[in-house]
Amino acid sequence: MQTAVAQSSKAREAMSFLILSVFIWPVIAVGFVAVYGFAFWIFFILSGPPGPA
Amino acid sequence: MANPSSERRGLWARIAGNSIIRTMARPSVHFSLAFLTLGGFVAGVAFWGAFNTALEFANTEKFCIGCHEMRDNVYQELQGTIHWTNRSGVRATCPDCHVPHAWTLKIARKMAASREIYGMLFGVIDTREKFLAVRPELAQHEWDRMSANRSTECRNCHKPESMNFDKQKAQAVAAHKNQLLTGEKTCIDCHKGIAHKLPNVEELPTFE
Ligand code: HEC
Ligand code: HEC
Ligand code: HEC
Repeated sequence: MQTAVAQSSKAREAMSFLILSVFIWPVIAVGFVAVYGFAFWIFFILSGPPGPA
Repeated sequence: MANPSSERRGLWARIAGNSIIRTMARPSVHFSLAFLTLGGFVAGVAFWGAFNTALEFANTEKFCIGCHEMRDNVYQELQGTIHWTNRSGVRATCPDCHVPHAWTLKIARKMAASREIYGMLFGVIDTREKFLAVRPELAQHEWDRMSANRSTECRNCHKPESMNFDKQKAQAVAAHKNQLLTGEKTCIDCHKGIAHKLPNVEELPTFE
């Protein structure tokens, strides 16, 4: 680690943590589920509706 | 990755040079791993709870009839049927028949509903006439779906193995023994229009 690189302040780290945990990761998680659902929907349009579970 | 101190002000350089982004990409100086993992854990639990609550809410009849398209058409018709009131007091709600239980299929169904949101925003079936005009197509989607999955949603409540044939009408017993138990047909092949009025099939040349 170069000491020349300024360390982030505690407030900035706390803010980053909050943005990541309440916004970025939740949006990514919902986006992932949405993409998963759309992929299956499109697959079922092509293959016909799924058989018995 | 651009060097943060670079003079270039390309988009990437600007994003990478942003102090919050830089903080996010670096190990924490002020917070311990124990604190950060605990924070992630708590946020994860809260997220999962909120996600499931939202998913469950989208699986209630209240939600389904939140739009007048469903409330004024199919919901009204359901009210005269056996699945609305019966001697056993079991009430089948919209999602009982229309939403699969398996997680993947449920999520796929929820995403497919983006088409319904489009339909609602653009008033595709905002009058009774428009609804009746597309009803055959909508009904056919459900018939196809239930034929393919052997009426899984019906079977969540009705188990052919649990049917007491002594208590069914002769006509029902014959149909169920000869065609249901043999696997030749499934509920929806014979029981169409049990929850809503059937589409007006005569008007439709494309409909066999
Ligand atoms: C939430 C559980 C539930 C679901 C899902 C469900 N049913 Fe029912 N169904 C019932 C109950 C409860 C009765 C009434 C039983 C009684 O008291 O006689 C009933 C009655 C019926 C009857 C008897 C009608 C009559 O006049 O006696 C038929 C036919 C039927 N259901 C078909 C279906 C079909 C087809 C599906 C799938 C599209 C389905 N049901 C889905 C619970 C359900
Ligand atoms: C081969 C056609 C056929 C299939 C498949 C079929 N049924 Fe039926 N079912 C009938 C007939 C016909 C009757 C008698 C209808 C009547 O009397 O009005 C009947 C009657 C019933 C009744 C009322 C019985 C009574 O006498 O009170 C119930 C409940 C029922 N079916 C449920 C189901 C369920 C649930 C499935 C799928 C697991 C199913 N049926 C599959 C043809 C079928
Ligand atoms: C007992 C099972 C059952 C319940 C409960 C039920 N449906 Fe249906 N629904 C069906 C079946 C089966 C079809 C396929 C068409 C038919 O056979 O009438 C259908 C068709 C539809 C259609 C396509 C248009 C049409 O009429 O064919 C819509 C929209 C619909 N249902 C919405 C709803 C809504 C909203 C609710 C709750 C108020 C609901 N359904 C409750 C079984 C059910």
